[in-house]
Amino acid sequence: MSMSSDPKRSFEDAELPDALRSALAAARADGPSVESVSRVAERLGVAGPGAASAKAAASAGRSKLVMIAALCVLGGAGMHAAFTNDHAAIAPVPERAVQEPSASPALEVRHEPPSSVRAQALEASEPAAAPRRTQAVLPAKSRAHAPAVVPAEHLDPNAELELLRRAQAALTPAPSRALVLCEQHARLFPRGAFQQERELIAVVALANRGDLRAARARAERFERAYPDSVHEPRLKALLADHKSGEPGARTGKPAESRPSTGD
Amino acid sequence: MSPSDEQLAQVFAGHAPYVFRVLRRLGVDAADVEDVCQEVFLVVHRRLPDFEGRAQLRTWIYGICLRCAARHRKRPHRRRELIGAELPELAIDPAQQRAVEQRQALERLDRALGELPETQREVYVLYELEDLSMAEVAEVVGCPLQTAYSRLHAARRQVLAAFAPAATDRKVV
Repeated sequence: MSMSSDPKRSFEDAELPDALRSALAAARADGPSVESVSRVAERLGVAGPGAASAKAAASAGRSKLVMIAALCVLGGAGMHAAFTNDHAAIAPVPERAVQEPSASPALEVRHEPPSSVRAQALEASEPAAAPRRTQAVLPAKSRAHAPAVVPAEHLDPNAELELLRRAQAALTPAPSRALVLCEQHARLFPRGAFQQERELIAVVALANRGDLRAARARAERFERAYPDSVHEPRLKALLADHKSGEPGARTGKPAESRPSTGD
Repeated sequence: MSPSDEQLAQVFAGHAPYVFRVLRRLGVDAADVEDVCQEVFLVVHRRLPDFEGRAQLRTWIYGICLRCAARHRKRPHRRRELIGAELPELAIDPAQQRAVEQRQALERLDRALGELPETQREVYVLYELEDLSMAEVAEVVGCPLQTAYSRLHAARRQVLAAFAPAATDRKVV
């Protein structure tokens, strides 16, 4: 579903009062503490390896290893598929490939609450029916020239990783949105600790969106900028795959000219 | 851990942070947000077999958040937020001035959001803070697209007014 008619987000409005812009930036980067996530996980009976990543995402430390580990998952699924699969530029990467494994309705789930949850099955209303899937495309161009939102020094240090986590989560369902978030990261954190990870996410987003040529160009810039990066071998392998299996080379049709699958 | 518990763990791992975030912006007090978050994931667990993948899982969970938050706000036993109760839960160092400023900005936004009608607040939070498209927002809140636009416009106007210089003078704590 096109989002071309959607208005600009408020934080992109150059005339927005600084106080409101800061507040919106803070709200967009807000998140729970590790302790809070842990307590709920324990009460739900899911405090285990599965909950570890949620705790990690909420962690004040939010170490670079978390992001690197997450990117390894990306590289093994969506990223690799985007570069090697002839259909990757046309068909969306399956939702399970990245980030939302639970989206699969094929997995069996009991109707009763988790075993470790006691009589806490609080009554709550839920949507009458799952809303229809929407394939939305963010107005990336309109956001690309948005003014810098908040100087990085005014933001929570955890905001940087949270922003990239959101970009990563959007890679499969909304690669254009992932790109916008990467651009936002670049504006907010020009000297951030996760610049390499941002670029990797951007490369995958471009590939998932079907812009394979742009993805390759950005990957090559990454290689030049970070020749000693721990991500460099993976990118090199992906580029090699891409060169041998570029859809545009086989079909004679530039990847960029293909219709977007939407996101 | 049973297979279904493992699946819930996966959903929780992937979605807990934004569930917390959106619940807070929808008016769930810090003292209650863990309870309501748990409630959201219990509903997710119960309803997941019916989830057919026609919507993004994330969008579907937003709908559950909206309803759980609305129920919470209507509860007579809703706890009052205690000053300072939230500080130990901060993921930021309160000793840092910028962290304090950020928290104050967030509280100010929450006050402004708290002045909005519920329907406008939901649209504003989902569009301005959670990056849903307006079509997605309309689906989640269950209203026509034009109605969602109207609510967004009205909410923006009111939030902007709350951050106007005159409002700043009045509301400085």
